[in-house]
Amino acid sequence: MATSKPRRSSRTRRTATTLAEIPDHLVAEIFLRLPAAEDLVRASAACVSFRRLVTDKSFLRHFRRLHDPPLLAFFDRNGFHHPLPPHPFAPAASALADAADLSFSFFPNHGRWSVQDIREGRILLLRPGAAKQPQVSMEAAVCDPLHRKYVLLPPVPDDLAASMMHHPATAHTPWCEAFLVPLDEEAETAFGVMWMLHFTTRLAVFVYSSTTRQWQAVASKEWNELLLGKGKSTMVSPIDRDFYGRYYAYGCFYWESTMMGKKDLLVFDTRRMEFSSCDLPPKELCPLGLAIVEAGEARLGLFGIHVEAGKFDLCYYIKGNKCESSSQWQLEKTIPICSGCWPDIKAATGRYLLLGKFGPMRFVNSTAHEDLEYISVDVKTLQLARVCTKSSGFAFSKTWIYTNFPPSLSSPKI
Amino acid sequence: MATREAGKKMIMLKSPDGMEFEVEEAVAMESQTIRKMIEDDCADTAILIPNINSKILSRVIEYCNKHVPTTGATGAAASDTVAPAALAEDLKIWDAEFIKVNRATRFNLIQAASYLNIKGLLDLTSQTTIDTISDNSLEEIRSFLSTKNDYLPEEEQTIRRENQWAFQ
Repeated sequence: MATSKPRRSSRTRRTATTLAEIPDHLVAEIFLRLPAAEDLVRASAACVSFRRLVTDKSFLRHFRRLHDPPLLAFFDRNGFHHPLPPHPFAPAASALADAADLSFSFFPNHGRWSVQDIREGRILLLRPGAAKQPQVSMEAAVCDPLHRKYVLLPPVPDDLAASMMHHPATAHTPWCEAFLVPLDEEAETAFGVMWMLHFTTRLAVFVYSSTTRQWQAVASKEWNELLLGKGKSTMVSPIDRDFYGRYYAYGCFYWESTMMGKKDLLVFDTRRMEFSSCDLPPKELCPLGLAIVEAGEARLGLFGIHVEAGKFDLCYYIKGNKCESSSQWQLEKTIPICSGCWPDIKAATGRYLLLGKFGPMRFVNSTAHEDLEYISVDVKTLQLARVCTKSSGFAFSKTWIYTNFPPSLSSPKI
Repeated sequence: MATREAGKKMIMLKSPDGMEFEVEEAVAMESQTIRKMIEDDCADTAILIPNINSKILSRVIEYCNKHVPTTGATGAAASDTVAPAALAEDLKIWDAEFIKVNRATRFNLIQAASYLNIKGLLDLTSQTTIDTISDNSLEEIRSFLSTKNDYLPEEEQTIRRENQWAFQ
């Protein structure tokens, strides 16, 4: 209700009767509990003093620390895609699309870079040149498309790379993956980048920290020291370079082994910089792919797709506490997805899961077309919501979820 | 309601309007602020609770009485016969009744819960305000919070325009 009244100072009374008369720190405490970013923005529009409070930098930092940022986009070979109405994040996603430069035009030679990973609003880019697969020698950069900031990473020092590559037992070239690592630090601009080298007999890791601006060789482990190689000495990496899934939860990365009959997860703890392994629920319970998520209270959650008589269910398991062998995976909930379609886990962050679901086959000029419907699953509420639908051109392309706070509440990530 | 038993330490809470409330120490220690005073030995005879009038203080004590964990003989007997889930459900119903108060009382309770540092009470009293902000339009939020719109019309227009996504 817009009125043309001049500003009034709030009256003082003996007892508080309005929220505006409650001390600022208490209003802040209540506002910090608001469940969604849009609630905070609406509350801030109520009066000038609320606005002042909500735009305060330290208040916003506190709010961001207590809330998970919403899923505002996902990226695949076709570029960025945003949740469309009636998805609950559609309004915030369109605000992101308006404010961010998702074509990276602020970035030098942006057309020559390729997206390698997305996490916490940051995007890791590599400059592959003629090479098809990521190589440690490639140029790497991290950018924040919302605030149009980027940083070029220094190359991995030659002697450091050599110390890992020219291990006596490995005469071959490893396959490599580069990804973003959350740094457990106060600064919202701190991030890490990890290069993981998959040799046939062992794993090696380099980590770059934005705080020290240096690369470090942090870990190396023989496959047969990990449970994944239990029983016999493995001469092949159990992680397939094309079909692996990598998930992050509570400071650890998890890789699903793609070898038949293996039912372990490879684990890398980013705080202790150590490899280990973790058991999965029986393979028959999640035969069609899985994703690791954060189930709350430091417990791991696992989504698997289960099929029975043409009916597909999403099964959600929770593991007692971290990766202790004593705690077992417990089935928490079974969510029916569809029958007759073919669902697929596309990507996951700690808080969200992105599913792809093929629609019925239709023919246009005798060419078969199939639509791919994207569905988000909120891990905390287990609510499913349709994100968008697109033609299934690149159905099997690698997919990443982009989460961030909407523009007015976000902060630069670099 | 628990009866006063021998051996249970009682303490006196005083409101600024001169009322005195004798409560079990365990009940008073639901407040982290009072707990600290007791543990630091700053509370031999009576504790003056500033800024919280007797009407509000009596409601806070009522809340703490209900929420203090039951221990000892009577407590054990109660938890043998009543499942924890049923107890929790009972508390939830009780809380829902407790918070049916007018706006001024609720805001006073929020302040009291904050000053006395009683997490459960602060959660409970804040929740209605949070629900109102989550579920309603800006005009309804202002009316509920009795907040005066002190924006200039063009300022409000700018805020709405810049944050259009939050008003859909």
